[in-house]
Amino acid sequence: MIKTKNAILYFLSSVIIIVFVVLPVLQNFLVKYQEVKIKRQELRQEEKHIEDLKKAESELEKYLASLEMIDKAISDDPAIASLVYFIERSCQNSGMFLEDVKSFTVEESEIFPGLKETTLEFSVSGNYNDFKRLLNSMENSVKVIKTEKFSIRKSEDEKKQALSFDVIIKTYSY
Amino acid sequence: MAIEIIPKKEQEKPSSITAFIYYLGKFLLIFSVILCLAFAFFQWRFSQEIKAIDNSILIRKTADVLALESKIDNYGRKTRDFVQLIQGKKSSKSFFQAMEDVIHPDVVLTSFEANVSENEINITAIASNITVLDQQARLFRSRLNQTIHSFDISEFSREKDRTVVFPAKLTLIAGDIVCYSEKSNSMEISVDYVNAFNVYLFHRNQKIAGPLSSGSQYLFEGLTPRTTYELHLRNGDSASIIPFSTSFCRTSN
Repeated sequence: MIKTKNAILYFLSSVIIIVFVVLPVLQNFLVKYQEVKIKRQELRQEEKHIEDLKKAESELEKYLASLEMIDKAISDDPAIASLVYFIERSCQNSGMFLEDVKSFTVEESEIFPGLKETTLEFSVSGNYNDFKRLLNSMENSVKVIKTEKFSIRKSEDEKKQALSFDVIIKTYSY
Repeated sequence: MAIEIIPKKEQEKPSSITAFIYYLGKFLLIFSVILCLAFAFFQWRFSQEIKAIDNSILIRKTADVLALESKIDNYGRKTRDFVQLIQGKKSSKSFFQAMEDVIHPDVVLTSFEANVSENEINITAIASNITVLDQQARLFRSRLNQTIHSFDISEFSREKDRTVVFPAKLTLIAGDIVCYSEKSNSMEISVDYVNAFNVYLFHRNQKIAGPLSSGSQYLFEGLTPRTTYELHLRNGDSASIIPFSTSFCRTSN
């Protein structure tokens, strides 16, 4: 026989189980379900990412020459010695004489984050047209070289007809 | 027929509501237990799946893939940096051209300082007489808005031999305005420091184009010949206005 007391007991205990057991379990289940959905998406993205990487690698092969040029344009380190050597060679090719390398600084670039800015100051002597050729050859070289300032003055040696030029340039590296 | 001496109590029939509550309670109890078990099972399955996916992602990230990833990232970064550097690059050529075009034949420069990044030239020069100095100032003025943005000859001194020594400060325009097609009335403008400036084209206080903040060369089409336009270079709160006339444009070869 169904007693009212039993009916209430069954009903109340089932309500208590639903509220305190089933609902938290359901909540955990939903959380895990969301996690699985995210993980599945991550896996799909990872697969797509690897596919894209492989595509990009094959695309890159078409531009190897340009990429090599970019590598040379922004070197991995400031390489002051090679920069001075490059200036010396450029001077020789333009008919100028490298008189002095006055100073250089290497510091983090404020305009281009992640890049180091090398500022180099040097003096050359020669004639006006050769100086123009020197600046032009440096500015158009594979390495990114920016002329910041330059000044022209008479050579200290009065006997010399040549002019003296002070130049400040900037190059960039990582 | 037997006669019931002590009559039994008639069984109380449960009310329909009590029966409903009873069966509902029983059903809910069984159902909630089943649900609990099912949810717990699926939760366990999901945990297993998450572990499997994590493993699978780890397996995919081999040394080769990581190396390839870093190689491509590296090239991407280098290419972006290279583009930025090239866009902001200025040539000293325009400084020489500007000065060669504008220096009077009877003026001798005794010092010449160019600040390429600021578009500034500071000179000290000797003019053969005061008339030549005036002609020199006129020459600078005639190049305003073409190659020279502004110039300043605020002082000079006259020597005993009647020569005039004067310092001058010139600011060149930040870029090149080149008319390349007179027929279509379109022109190409290359503006330096595109990274720092937003470029607008104005005509009689009316904005015609802009902001143009990417790329170093802009093409403006349908411009009216012999008309004055203004190029507004804005960087934050500061703005630099460069007026120019289409009739003054250099024709590129």
